[in-house]
Amino acid sequence: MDMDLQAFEARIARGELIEADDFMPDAYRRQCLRLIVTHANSELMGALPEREWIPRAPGLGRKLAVLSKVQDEIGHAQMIYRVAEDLAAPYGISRQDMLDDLIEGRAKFHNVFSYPAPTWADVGIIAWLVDGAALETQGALLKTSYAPYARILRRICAEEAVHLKHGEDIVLTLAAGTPGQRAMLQDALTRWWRPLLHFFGPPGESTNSDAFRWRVRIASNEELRQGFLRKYVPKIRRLGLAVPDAELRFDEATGKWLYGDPDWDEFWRVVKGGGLQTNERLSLRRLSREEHGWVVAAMRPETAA
Amino acid sequence: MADLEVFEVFGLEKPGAVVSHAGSLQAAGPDLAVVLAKELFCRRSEYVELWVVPRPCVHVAQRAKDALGPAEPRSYRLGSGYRDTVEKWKRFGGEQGGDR
Repeated sequence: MDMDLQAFEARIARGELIEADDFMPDAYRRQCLRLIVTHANSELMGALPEREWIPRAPGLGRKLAVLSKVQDEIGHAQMIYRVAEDLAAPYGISRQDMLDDLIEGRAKFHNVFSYPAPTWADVGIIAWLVDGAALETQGALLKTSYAPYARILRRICAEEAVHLKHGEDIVLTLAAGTPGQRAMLQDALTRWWRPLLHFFGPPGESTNSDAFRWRVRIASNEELRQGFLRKYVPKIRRLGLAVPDAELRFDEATGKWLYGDPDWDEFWRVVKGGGLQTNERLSLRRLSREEHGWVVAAMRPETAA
Repeated sequence: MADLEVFEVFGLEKPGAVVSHAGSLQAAGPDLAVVLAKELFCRRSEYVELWVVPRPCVHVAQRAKDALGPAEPRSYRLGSGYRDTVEKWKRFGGEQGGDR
Protein backbone atom coordinates (compact mmCIF):
# COMPACT_ATOMS: atom_id res chain seq x y z
CA MET A 1 0.00 0.00 0.00
CA ASP A 2 1.50 3.35 -0.94
CA MET A 3 2.20 6.06 1.62
CA ASP A 4 -0.61 8.39 0.52
CA LEU A 5 -3.22 5.68 0.73
CA GLN A 6 -1.90 4.60 4.13
CA ALA A 7 -2.12 8.15 5.43
CA PHE A 8 -5.65 8.50 3.99
CA GLU A 9 -6.81 5.27 5.66
CA ALA A 10 -5.31 6.46 8.95
CA ARG A 11 -7.17 9.78 8.69
CA ILE A 12 -10.46 7.96 8.04
CA ALA A 13 -9.77 5.63 10.96
CA ARG A 14 -9.26 8.67 13.23
CA GLY A 15 -12.67 9.97 12.12
CA GLU A 16 -11.17 12.92 10.22
CA LEU A 17 -13.00 14.68 7.40
CA ILE A 18 -11.62 14.88 3.88
CA GLU A 19 -11.56 18.25 2.07
CA ALA A 20 -11.69 18.74 -1.70
CA ASP A 21 -7.94 19.48 -2.00
CA ASP A 22 -6.81 16.62 0.24
CA PHE A 23 -5.36 13.42 -1.13
CA MET A 24 -8.01 10.79 -1.73
CA PRO A 25 -7.81 7.43 -3.50
CA ASP A 26 -9.39 7.39 -6.93
CA ALA A 27 -11.98 4.81 -5.82
CA TYR A 28 -13.08 7.13 -2.97
CA ARG A 29 -13.38 10.07 -5.34
CA ARG A 30 -15.45 8.01 -7.79
CA GLN A 31 -17.75 6.65 -5.07
CA CYS A 32 -18.37 10.11 -3.63
CA LEU A 33 -18.90 11.54 -7.10
CA ARG A 34 -21.44 8.88 -8.12
CA LEU A 35 -23.41 9.36 -4.90
CA ILE A 36 -23.30 13.15 -5.02
CA VAL A 37 -24.19 13.48 -8.73
CA THR A 38 -27.13 11.10 -8.26
CA HIS A 39 -28.27 13.26 -5.34
CA ALA A 40 -27.97 16.46 -7.42
CA ASN A 41 -29.85 14.86 -10.34
CA SER A 42 -32.59 13.76 -7.96
CA GLU A 43 -33.05 17.26 -6.51
CA LEU A 44 -33.39 18.62 -10.03
CA MET A 45 -35.75 15.86 -11.22
CA GLY A 46 -37.71 15.98 -7.96
CA ALA A 47 -38.64 19.60 -8.59
CA LEU A 48 -40.37 18.67 -11.86
CA PRO A 49 -43.41 16.71 -10.59
CA GLU A 50 -43.92 19.39 -7.93
CA ARG A 51 -43.61 22.25 -10.37
CA GLU A 52 -46.60 20.81 -12.25
CA TRP A 53 -48.62 21.49 -9.10
CA ILE A 54 -47.80 25.17 -8.67
CA PRO A 55 -50.71 26.40 -10.82
CA ARG A 56 -53.07 23.78 -9.42
CA ALA A 57 -52.33 24.05 -5.68
CA PRO A 58 -55.50 24.90 -3.76
CA GLY A 59 -55.22 28.47 -2.48
CA LEU A 60 -52.53 31.12 -2.52
CA GLY A 61 -50.84 29.89 0.69
CA ARG A 62 -50.34 26.38 -0.70
CA LYS A 63 -49.21 27.82 -4.03
CA LEU A 64 -46.51 29.89 -2.34
CA ALA A 65 -45.40 26.89 -0.26
CA VAL A 66 -45.09 24.61 -3.31
CA LEU A 67 -43.32 27.37 -5.22
CA SER A 68 -40.78 27.82 -2.45
CA LYS A 69 -40.26 24.06 -2.16
CA VAL A 70 -39.49 23.89 -5.89
CA GLN A 71 -37.08 26.82 -5.45
CA ASP A 72 -35.41 25.00 -2.53
CA GLU A 73 -34.97 21.79 -4.55
CA ILE A 74 -33.39 23.66 -7.46
CA GLY A 75 -31.17 25.51 -4.97
CA HIS A 76 -30.11 22.17 -3.48
CA ALA A 77 -29.28 20.89 -6.96
CA GLN A 78 -27.12 23.99 -7.58
CA MET A 79 -25.20 23.52 -4.33
CA ILE A 80 -24.71 19.79 -4.81
CA TYR A 81 -23.56 20.09 -8.45
CA ARG A 82 -21.01 22.63 -7.16
CA VAL A 83 -19.60 20.03 -4.74
CA ALA A 84 -19.64 17.47 -7.55
CA GLU A 85 -17.76 19.82 -9.90
CA ASP A 86 -14.84 20.15 -7.50
CA LEU A 87 -14.70 16.36 -7.10
CA ALA A 88 -14.93 15.81 -10.87
CA ALA A 89 -12.32 18.45 -11.79
CA PRO A 90 -9.43 15.92 -12.07
CA TYR A 91 -11.49 14.00 -14.64
CA GLY A 92 -12.23 17.16 -16.65
CA ILE A 93 -15.98 16.67 -16.09
CA SER A 94 -18.01 19.89 -15.82
CA ARG A 95 -21.52 20.63 -14.60
CA GLN A 96 -22.56 20.87 -18.25
CA ASP A 97 -21.37 17.28 -18.79
CA MET A 98 -23.37 16.14 -15.76
CA LEU A 99 -26.52 17.88 -17.00
CA ASP A 100 -25.99 16.37 -20.47
CA ASP A 101 -25.57 12.90 -18.97
CA LEU A 102 -28.85 13.32 -17.12
CA ILE A 103 -30.84 14.50 -20.13
CA GLU A 104 -29.43 11.83 -22.40
CA GLY A 105 -30.32 9.08 -19.94
CA ARG A 106 -26.72 8.15 -19.05
CA ALA A 107 -26.98 9.19 -15.40
CA LYS A 108 -29.18 7.95 -12.58
CA PHE A 109 -31.72 9.88 -10.61
CA HIS A 110 -33.87 8.58 -7.82
CA ASN A 111 -36.51 5.97 -8.75
CA VAL A 112 -39.13 7.80 -6.79
CA PHE A 113 -39.25 10.60 -9.36
CA SER A 114 -40.36 8.20 -12.09
CA TYR A 115 -43.89 7.92 -10.69
CA PRO A 116 -46.87 10.17 -11.45
CA ALA A 117 -48.46 12.57 -8.95
CA PRO A 118 -52.05 12.70 -10.24
CA THR A 119 -53.83 14.35 -7.26
CA TRP A 120 -53.23 17.03 -4.62
CA ALA A 121 -53.05 14.23 -2.04
CA ASP A 122 -50.03 12.87 -3.93
CA VAL A 123 -48.34 16.24 -3.39
CA GLY A 124 -48.99 15.89 0.36
CA ILE A 125 -47.78 12.28 0.50
CA ILE A 126 -44.66 13.17 -1.52
CA ALA A 127 -43.77 16.16 0.65
CA TRP A 128 -44.43 14.23 3.87
CA LEU A 129 -43.23 10.71 3.16
CA VAL A 130 -40.86 11.01 0.20
CA ASP A 131 -39.14 13.99 1.83
CA GLY A 132 -39.30 12.05 5.13
CA ALA A 133 -37.54 9.13 3.45
CA ALA A 134 -34.99 11.49 1.91
CA LEU A 135 -34.37 12.98 5.33
CA GLU A 136 -33.58 9.50 6.71
CA THR A 137 -30.97 9.01 3.99
CA GLN A 138 -29.53 12.52 4.09
CA GLY A 139 -29.61 12.65 7.89
CA ALA A 140 -27.38 9.56 7.97
CA LEU A 141 -25.08 11.13 5.37
CA LEU A 142 -24.38 14.10 7.66
CA LYS A 143 -21.70 11.74 9.03
CA THR A 144 -20.04 11.32 5.63
CA SER A 145 -16.27 11.69 5.62
CA TYR A 146 -16.40 14.08 2.63
CA ALA A 147 -16.50 17.47 4.32
CA PRO A 148 -17.86 19.70 1.51
CA TYR A 149 -20.86 17.37 1.10
CA ALA A 150 -21.46 17.19 4.86
CA ARG A 151 -21.47 20.99 5.06
CA ILE A 152 -24.14 21.54 2.41
CA LEU A 153 -26.17 18.58 3.73
CA ARG A 154 -26.65 20.45 7.01
CA ARG A 155 -28.37 23.28 5.14
CA ILE A 156 -30.28 20.89 2.88
CA CYS A 157 -31.58 18.77 5.79
CA ALA A 158 -32.85 21.87 7.59
CA GLU A 159 -34.83 22.86 4.49
CA GLU A 160 -36.09 19.33 3.86
CA ALA A 161 -37.41 19.30 7.42
CA VAL A 162 -39.57 22.32 6.48
CA HIS A 163 -40.84 20.50 3.38
CA LEU A 164 -41.80 17.59 5.57
CA LYS A 165 -43.81 19.91 7.82
CA HIS A 166 -45.52 21.39 4.76
CA GLY A 167 -46.44 17.86 3.55
CA GLU A 168 -47.59 16.85 7.01
CA ASP A 169 -49.88 19.89 7.05
CA ILE A 170 -51.43 18.96 3.68
CA VAL A 171 -51.93 15.35 4.82
CA LEU A 172 -53.45 16.38 8.18
CA THR A 173 -55.83 18.77 6.43
CA LEU A 174 -57.01 16.11 3.97
CA ALA A 175 -57.25 13.48 6.72
CA ALA A 176 -59.58 15.77 8.66
CA GLY A 177 -61.57 16.62 5.52
CA THR A 178 -64.55 15.20 3.63
CA PRO A 179 -64.92 11.46 2.89
CA GLY A 180 -63.87 12.29 -0.67
CA GLN A 181 -60.67 13.96 0.54
CA ARG A 182 -59.89 11.04 2.85
CA ALA A 183 -60.41 8.61 -0.03
CA MET A 184 -58.09 10.68 -2.22
CA LEU A 185 -55.46 10.59 0.55
CA GLN A 186 -55.80 6.83 0.98
CA ASP A 187 -55.43 6.32 -2.79
CA ALA A 188 -52.29 8.44 -2.85
CA LEU A 189 -50.77 6.49 0.06
CA THR A 190 -51.64 3.21 -1.70
CA ARG A 191 -49.94 4.44 -4.88
CA TRP A 192 -46.81 5.60 -3.05
CA TRP A 193 -46.29 2.77 -0.57
CA ARG A 194 -44.28 0.53 -2.87
CA PRO A 195 -42.08 3.34 -4.22
CA LEU A 196 -41.47 4.32 -0.57
CA LEU A 197 -40.28 0.81 0.34
CA HIS A 198 -38.14 0.86 -2.82
CA PHE A 199 -36.78 4.27 -1.84
CA PHE A 200 -33.93 2.88 0.25
CA GLY A 201 -32.91 0.12 -2.18
CA PRO A 202 -32.94 -3.65 -1.70
CA PRO A 203 -31.81 -5.17 1.61
CA GLY A 204 -28.81 -7.40 2.10
CA GLU A 205 -25.96 -5.37 0.58
CA SER A 206 -22.61 -5.93 2.27
CA THR A 207 -21.59 -3.25 4.74
CA ASN A 208 -18.13 -4.76 4.78
CA SER A 209 -16.88 -2.61 1.92
CA ASP A 210 -14.58 0.33 1.20
CA ALA A 211 -17.64 2.57 0.87
CA PHE A 212 -18.70 1.88 4.46
CA ARG A 213 -15.18 1.88 5.90
CA TRP A 214 -14.44 5.21 4.18
CA ARG A 215 -17.79 6.60 5.39
CA VAL A 216 -19.00 7.35 1.86
CA ARG A 217 -21.96 5.29 3.00
CA ILE A 218 -23.13 5.38 6.60
CA ALA A 219 -26.22 3.21 7.03
CA SER A 220 -27.39 0.14 5.13
CA ASN A 221 -30.53 0.27 2.98
CA GLU A 222 -32.43 -1.84 5.50
CA GLU A 223 -31.33 0.26 8.51
CA LEU A 224 -32.65 3.36 6.74
CA ARG A 225 -35.91 1.66 5.76
CA GLN A 226 -36.43 0.45 9.35
CA GLY A 227 -35.87 3.99 10.63
CA PHE A 228 -38.51 5.24 8.20
CA LEU A 229 -41.07 2.54 9.12
CA ARG A 230 -40.47 3.13 12.84
CA LYS A 231 -41.24 6.83 12.49
CA TYR A 232 -44.06 6.88 9.97
CA VAL A 233 -46.15 3.66 10.20
CA PRO A 234 -47.56 4.63 13.63
CA LYS A 235 -48.40 8.13 12.32
CA ILE A 236 -50.08 6.77 9.18
CA ARG A 237 -52.18 4.42 11.30
CA ARG A 238 -53.06 7.20 13.74
CA LEU A 239 -54.62 9.07 10.81
CA GLY A 240 -56.83 6.01 10.22
CA LEU A 241 -55.14 5.26 6.90
CA ALA A 242 -54.45 1.69 5.78
CA VAL A 243 -50.95 0.72 4.70
CA PRO A 244 -51.47 -1.44 1.61
CA ASP A 245 -49.41 -4.40 2.88
CA ALA A 246 -51.21 -7.26 4.65
CA GLU A 247 -47.88 -8.63 5.90
CA LEU A 248 -46.68 -5.41 7.52
CA ARG A 249 -46.19 -5.90 11.27
CA PHE A 250 -43.80 -5.00 14.04
CA ASP A 251 -41.84 -8.02 15.23
CA GLU A 252 -41.27 -7.68 18.99
CA ALA A 253 -38.56 -10.38 19.01
CA THR A 254 -36.25 -8.59 16.55
CA GLY A 255 -37.54 -5.06 17.10
CA LYS A 256 -38.01 -4.74 13.35
CA TRP A 257 -40.84 -4.05 10.97
CA LEU A 258 -41.60 -6.98 8.67
CA TYR A 259 -43.11 -6.19 5.30
CA GLY A 260 -44.33 -8.08 2.24
CA ASP A 261 -42.10 -8.46 -0.83
CA PRO A 262 -42.32 -5.05 -2.56
CA ASP A 263 -41.36 -6.58 -5.95
CA TRP A 264 -37.68 -5.82 -6.31
CA ASP A 265 -37.87 -6.72 -10.02
CA GLU A 266 -39.99 -3.60 -10.47
CA PHE A 267 -37.34 -1.64 -8.53
CA TRP A 268 -34.61 -2.79 -10.92
CA ARG A 269 -36.79 -2.08 -13.95
CA VAL A 270 -37.15 1.54 -12.79
CA VAL A 271 -33.43 1.82 -11.95
CA LYS A 272 -32.67 0.87 -15.55
CA GLY A 273 -34.86 3.71 -16.81
CA GLY A 274 -38.11 1.79 -17.26
CA GLY A 275 -40.18 3.75 -14.73
CA LEU A 276 -43.75 4.78 -15.50
CA GLN A 277 -42.68 8.36 -16.09
CA THR A 278 -38.90 8.14 -16.49
CA ASN A 279 -39.05 9.31 -20.10
CA GLU A 280 -41.83 11.89 -19.58
CA ARG A 281 -39.86 13.47 -16.74
CA LEU A 282 -36.66 13.50 -18.78
CA SER A 283 -38.52 15.13 -21.69
CA LEU A 284 -39.85 17.70 -19.25
CA ARG A 285 -36.29 18.33 -18.09
CA ARG A 286 -35.14 18.67 -21.72
CA LEU A 287 -37.98 21.09 -22.44
CA SER A 288 -37.21 23.10 -19.35
CA ARG A 289 -33.56 23.37 -20.37
CA GLU A 290 -34.57 24.59 -23.83
CA GLU A 291 -37.13 27.08 -22.52
CA HIS A 292 -34.77 28.47 -19.89
CA GLY A 293 -31.71 28.42 -22.10
CA TRP A 294 -31.94 32.19 -22.51
CA VAL A 295 -31.41 32.67 -18.74
CA VAL A 296 -28.28 30.53 -18.81
CA ALA A 297 -27.09 32.43 -21.91
CA ALA A 298 -27.79 35.80 -20.27
CA MET A 299 -25.68 34.79 -17.28
CA ARG A 300 -22.68 33.71 -19.36
CA PRO A 301 -19.56 35.89 -18.98
CA GLU A 302 -19.61 37.14 -22.61
CA THR A 303 -23.24 38.36 -22.16
CA ALA A 304 -23.04 39.52 -18.56
CA ALA A 305 -19.86 41.56 -19.00
CA MET B 1 -16.55 30.69 -24.71
CA ALA B 2 -15.22 32.10 -21.45
CA ASP B 3 -15.66 29.99 -18.33
CA LEU B 4 -17.70 30.88 -15.31
CA GLU B 5 -15.66 31.66 -12.19
CA VAL B 6 -15.96 29.89 -8.88
CA PHE B 7 -16.77 32.17 -5.93
CA GLU B 8 -16.58 31.22 -2.28
CA VAL B 9 -19.50 32.64 -0.31
CA PHE B 10 -19.18 33.86 3.28
CA GLY B 11 -21.75 35.47 5.51
CA LEU B 12 -22.64 37.09 8.84
CA GLU B 13 -25.62 35.46 10.50
CA LYS B 14 -26.30 38.53 12.63
CA PRO B 15 -24.76 41.98 13.04
CA GLY B 16 -21.35 41.65 14.66
CA ALA B 17 -21.19 37.88 14.07
CA VAL B 18 -18.04 36.08 12.99
CA VAL B 19 -17.91 35.58 9.22
CA SER B 20 -18.49 31.97 8.31
CA HIS B 21 -18.29 30.00 5.10
CA ALA B 22 -21.67 29.40 3.45
CA GLY B 23 -20.64 27.49 0.31
CA SER B 24 -19.52 28.17 -3.22
CA LEU B 25 -21.09 28.93 -6.57
CA GLN B 26 -20.25 29.59 -10.20
CA ALA B 27 -20.96 32.94 -11.81
CA ALA B 28 -19.81 35.34 -14.50
CA GLY B 29 -18.32 38.04 -12.29
CA PRO B 30 -18.94 39.34 -8.78
CA ASP B 31 -22.25 41.12 -9.48
CA LEU B 32 -23.97 37.98 -10.66
CA ALA B 33 -22.23 36.02 -7.89
CA VAL B 34 -23.95 38.25 -5.34
CA VAL B 35 -27.34 37.76 -7.04
CA LEU B 36 -26.87 33.99 -7.03
CA ALA B 37 -25.54 33.95 -3.45
CA LYS B 38 -28.73 35.65 -2.26
CA GLU B 39 -30.85 33.08 -4.11
CA LEU B 40 -28.84 30.09 -2.92
CA PHE B 41 -27.94 30.91 0.66
CA CYS B 42 -30.38 33.54 1.87
CA ARG B 43 -33.89 32.38 0.94
CA ARG B 44 -34.82 32.37 4.64
CA SER B 45 -32.90 35.51 5.66
CA GLU B 46 -30.09 33.39 7.09
CA TYR B 47 -27.52 36.20 6.76
CA VAL B 48 -27.41 39.95 7.36
CA GLU B 49 -24.41 40.25 5.06
CA LEU B 50 -22.95 38.09 2.31
CA TRP B 51 -19.45 38.19 0.86
CA VAL B 52 -18.46 36.62 -2.43
CA VAL B 53 -14.76 36.06 -3.04
CA PRO B 54 -13.22 34.69 -6.25
CA ARG B 55 -11.75 31.33 -5.25
CA PRO B 56 -8.20 32.13 -6.47
CA CYS B 57 -8.18 35.03 -3.95
CA VAL B 58 -8.52 32.64 -1.04
CA HIS B 59 -5.09 31.56 0.14
CA VAL B 60 -5.06 28.77 2.66
CA ALA B 61 -2.71 27.64 5.44
CA GLN B 62 -3.45 24.33 7.11
CA ARG B 63 -2.35 23.11 10.53
CA ALA B 64 -1.18 19.76 9.17
CA LYS B 65 0.86 21.11 6.25
CA ASP B 66 1.87 24.62 7.19
CA ALA B 67 2.79 24.44 10.88
CA LEU B 68 -0.09 26.63 12.04
CA GLY B 69 0.65 27.62 15.64
CA PRO B 70 3.78 26.82 17.61
CA ALA B 71 5.38 23.38 17.47
CA GLU B 72 5.55 23.16 21.28
CA PRO B 73 2.65 23.79 23.65
CA ARG B 74 2.92 27.38 24.90
CA SER B 75 0.63 27.59 27.87
CA TYR B 76 1.69 31.18 28.64
CA ARG B 77 -0.29 32.27 25.58
CA LEU B 78 -3.52 30.85 27.03
CA GLY B 79 -5.76 31.74 29.96
CA SER B 80 -5.60 28.08 30.99
CA GLY B 81 -1.84 28.55 31.57
CA TYR B 82 -2.63 30.73 34.63
CA ARG B 83 -5.03 28.45 36.51
CA ASP B 84 -2.92 28.56 39.69
CA THR B 85 -3.85 32.21 40.23
CA VAL B 86 -6.88 30.73 42.05
CA GLU B 87 -4.55 29.15 44.63
CA LYS B 88 -2.34 32.24 44.80
CA TRP B 89 -5.29 34.50 45.64
CA LYS B 90 -6.08 32.37 48.68
CA ARG B 91 -2.96 33.68 50.47
CA PHE B 92 -4.61 37.10 50.50
CA GLY B 93 -7.67 36.07 52.53
CA GLY B 94 -11.27 35.26 51.73
CA GLU B 95 -12.79 31.91 50.88
CA GLN B 96 -13.07 32.55 47.16
CA GLY B 97 -10.09 32.27 44.91
CA GLY B 98 -9.79 34.87 42.21
CA ASP B 99 -11.63 38.12 41.96
CA ARG B 100 -15.17 36.85 41.19
